[in-house]
Amino acid sequence: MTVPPELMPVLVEALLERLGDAAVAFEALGFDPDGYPEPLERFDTFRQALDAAGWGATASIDLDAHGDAIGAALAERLRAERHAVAEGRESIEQGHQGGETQVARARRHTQMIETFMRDAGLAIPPGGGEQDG
Amino acid sequence: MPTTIPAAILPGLRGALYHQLGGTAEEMAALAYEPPAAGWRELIARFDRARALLDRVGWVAPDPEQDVPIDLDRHRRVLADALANELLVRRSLASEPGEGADIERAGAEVLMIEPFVQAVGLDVVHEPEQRITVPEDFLPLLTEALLGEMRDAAQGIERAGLDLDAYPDALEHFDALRALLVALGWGTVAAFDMDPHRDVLQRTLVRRLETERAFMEDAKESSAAEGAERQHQRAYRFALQIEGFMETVGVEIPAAGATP
Repeated sequence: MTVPPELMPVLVEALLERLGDAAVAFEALGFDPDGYPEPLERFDTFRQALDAAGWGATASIDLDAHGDAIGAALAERLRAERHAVAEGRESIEQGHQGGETQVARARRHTQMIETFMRDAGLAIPPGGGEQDG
Repeated sequence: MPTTIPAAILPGLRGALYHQLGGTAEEMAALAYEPPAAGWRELIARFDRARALLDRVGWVAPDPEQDVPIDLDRHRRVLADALANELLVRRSLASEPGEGADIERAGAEVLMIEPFVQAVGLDVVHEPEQRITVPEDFLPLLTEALLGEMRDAAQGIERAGLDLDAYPDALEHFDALRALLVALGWGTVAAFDMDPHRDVLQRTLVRRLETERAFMEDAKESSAAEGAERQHQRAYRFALQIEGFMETVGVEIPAAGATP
């Protein structure tokens, strides 16, 4: 599956955010080695997806191998972008500056992510999206 | 003394000679145009020895590979160095757990090189892996120290955020800790090969030792507080264990001693 160039930075960011979350999970672990395999597996899943994407340098990604990680990362990012749309609208209503820019940017990202997920056959989380706009 | 290098070991030998040329060139680059000239002379001589043997055995493998007669007296030193290195690499690969074509091939190559080395009386330095056995009472502390370091390394990865340039170092450290934990069976295996893990082991032990020394200082400063004496004794015992292990495995102990 080829990732559109304009989506690639968003995808890499989304994967980095998930990798960071997976890394944070280690902090909660104690000194029992039995607790480590599961967070390590999650960490590896996102890292391997980043490796497959060349950390942003490769446009073509094997979705059979990395679809779960990419789907999870984009779904989470989609939620964040939808939230940013809603937040931006509130900002506009309250007369704050920058709201329009935030909404426009988040909507553009939302649309890119939804289009890619649809084309790639990845599950799009319900709610929000352009129907909010 | 005329000697024939068997065709079977030539591919490995050729690779080892290329490696030697590259390594020597890197050492030359590190000299950074500085004297003393003696350093240059030795490196150039080593470079020339490898080049001369490559000239003799051929820089590119012919098809099929043929036995090559050489003057052993002339090429003895470089041949011994190259085959010593090749044996080290192949033995290490052959001793890896599991199975696979590469591991089998490495074992077969060792079996081909060793008789040749013996037959012609090459003084090959055998560098067996430095197998370390962690004392049973120290293994839990070492595992705990490594897990703690690994959590810190994970924090470093999390802190890298969206800065792609920060990931290679952070991931490399994380991987090194993980590799040592895997070698130790996550605290269930006491013996491991020191060489690939020396740096990360040293770093972990130093940091843990510093932590225990800090605990000891804290306990001293709050000696009137409840449990301070116990904390001091515990930290002191751990510091001694760490220092003892560091001494045994030959890694550098930081200057400040663990004094009671």
